[in-house]
Amino acid sequence: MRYVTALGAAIAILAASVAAGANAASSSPITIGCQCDLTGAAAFAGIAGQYGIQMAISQINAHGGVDGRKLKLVTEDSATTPDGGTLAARKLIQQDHAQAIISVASSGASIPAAQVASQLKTVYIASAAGDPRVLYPFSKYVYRGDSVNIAASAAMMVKLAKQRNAKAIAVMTDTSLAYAVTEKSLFLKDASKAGLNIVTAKTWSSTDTDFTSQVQAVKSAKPDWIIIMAYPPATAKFMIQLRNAGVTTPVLGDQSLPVPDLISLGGSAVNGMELLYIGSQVLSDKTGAMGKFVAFFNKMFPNVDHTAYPNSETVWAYADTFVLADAIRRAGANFTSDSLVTALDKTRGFVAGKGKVFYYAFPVGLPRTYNPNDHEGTRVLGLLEVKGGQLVPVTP
Amino acid sequence: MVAINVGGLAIGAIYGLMAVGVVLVFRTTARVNFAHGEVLTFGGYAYWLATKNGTSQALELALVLALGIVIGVGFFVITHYLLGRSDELTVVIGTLGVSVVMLNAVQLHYTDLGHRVPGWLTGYSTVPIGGGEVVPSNTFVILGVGIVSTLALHAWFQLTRRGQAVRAVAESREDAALSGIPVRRVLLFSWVAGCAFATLSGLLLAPAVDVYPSMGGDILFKGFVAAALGGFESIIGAMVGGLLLGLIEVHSNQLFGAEMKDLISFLILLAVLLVRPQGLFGRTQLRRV
Repeated sequence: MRYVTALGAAIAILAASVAAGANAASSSPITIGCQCDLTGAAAFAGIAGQYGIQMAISQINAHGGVDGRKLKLVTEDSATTPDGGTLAARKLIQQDHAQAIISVASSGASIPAAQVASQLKTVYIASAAGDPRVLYPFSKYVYRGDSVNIAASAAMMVKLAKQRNAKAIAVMTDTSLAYAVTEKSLFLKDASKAGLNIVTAKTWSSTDTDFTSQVQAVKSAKPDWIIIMAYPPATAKFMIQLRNAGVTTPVLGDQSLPVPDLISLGGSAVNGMELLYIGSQVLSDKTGAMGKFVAFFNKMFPNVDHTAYPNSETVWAYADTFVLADAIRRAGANFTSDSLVTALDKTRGFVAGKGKVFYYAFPVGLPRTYNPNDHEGTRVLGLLEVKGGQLVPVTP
Repeated sequence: MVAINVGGLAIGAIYGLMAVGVVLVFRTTARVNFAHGEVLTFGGYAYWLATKNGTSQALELALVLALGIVIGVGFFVITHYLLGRSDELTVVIGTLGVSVVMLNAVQLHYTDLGHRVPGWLTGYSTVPIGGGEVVPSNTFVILGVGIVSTLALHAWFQLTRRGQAVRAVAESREDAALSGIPVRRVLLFSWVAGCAFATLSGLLLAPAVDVYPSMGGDILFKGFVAAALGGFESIIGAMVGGLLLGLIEVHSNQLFGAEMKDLISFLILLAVLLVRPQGLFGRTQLRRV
């Protein structure tokens, strides 16, 4: 009898501890890794993106977390370098035990980081990287966030060139950026098929400070349209030198450029530039969802330089955090990487803030849809113009 | 062609100013300061902060020079006291360590975001150079200050007792001390002068390259190349080396593309050093063994 009582007590204790363990797992925080370029040429994106993720997480946690579990953010700097991306991804997964990663980093840093995440079977959402090589070869764990595959950007550039009846096009590319090299290659291929005339294609590096040769090449070639595939700091310097040289040719910048940095560094030289844009509402539109988003951001980060932030990457990363949170919710409190993938692949037209679950979010993201064979997310591009020191929408 | 050459001289003046600073520190302390770029960066940030706060141009200059003096005293303390008994390699690595600390301090506080600043004295004004083209007036300030300071420093080293004392200390501290030269005071002066020159360079270069944490580090290497081209012992050689490097870069960029410009610059440097290892203006030194 005493033996039975002891056995019963032991079973009860064992059951209680298992239940406690399960309870602990399902109430412990969910660790979200942020692999962001906080330093280097893409810091304007990484820092902004980190703010967006922090904002989303603070809202989610203020409303009880996901399935009763709070989200915890751990950040590693990938420093806009491939080895930085590799190290950051490894550290986030193996040391920090991140259960999923949102990356706001250059394509150069994101490509190897995505491969590491895939090898270590961790969901990876590339919020800012547009290079096709981030997603391909295809891995079920890797997704593109609110950014757009640059093949779509290249196609948009060709479409705009034909709309504007551009007879002679100059292409300027930052060859130190992986995405820009790919984008140029895709554009030149599409341009050739479309019969467009490329009169000069010059290059530079992110750290260049003098663009005399590139400007003189443009002057000699006399294009009627210039396309730039680069980051804001070098683009701003190029534009200043271009306009100082008396060149008034219209310029189109790619989707990396519609950020306040371009205007603060380029001044009046960037007025009139057209820029490819990914987003549902431009940041300078202080009405509706975007107005509330910016106001919330300014309140949450009062000491940040508000002339620089928030920018597009803040919006993308914010939206992507909610996409991930929604998938975690559907995967269940004790989700695994594979159950999270299954949930993500069932995402259909999701916009946080439009629905019952994340009603408190600001609906500033583009509708997101993933399928088991298609992790691109969105393919929508808009057009902005720099006008009077502001970014304003243009109908393409 | 005028615009290309003006562009080359503009970027060359930037390299030359950096090279003169590197050579100045080397000639006065017999040490290569790998943190020279970060000292320049600090000067750039000091100027940016001063312009943000609407200070007068005289005060901007005074603040930047004062910062250079303070940093120079810091380097003197590090190299003479903290690392005073260490060998040369340790001191050089020490300056590398200081450069990492300085770079990270700026990144942590200001992030990697760039900031545009107006030219000191010139604002955003431009000067026509013909053919409907203009260049920022600041370009000529950099060129002018670079050339005047080069000539002034050269004359100071050659013709003044203090300049010769500094050279003597750089050659051999023991012999200088035996000659009655106050070595410690001279070294302090040398570090202060070198760092003040670096922060002044930061003030001048910031409008051309924008203010960001690695603004100095990014051009430090070109400064070393320019110094090697001109001759590490020669102030005039450093400036000429910088101007030449700028011209080589823009012309090779024009002819062969941006990807090749650094390769061609280094190939030319190698070729010069093969023929004249002491650089274009350096002197061959004989040592008794």
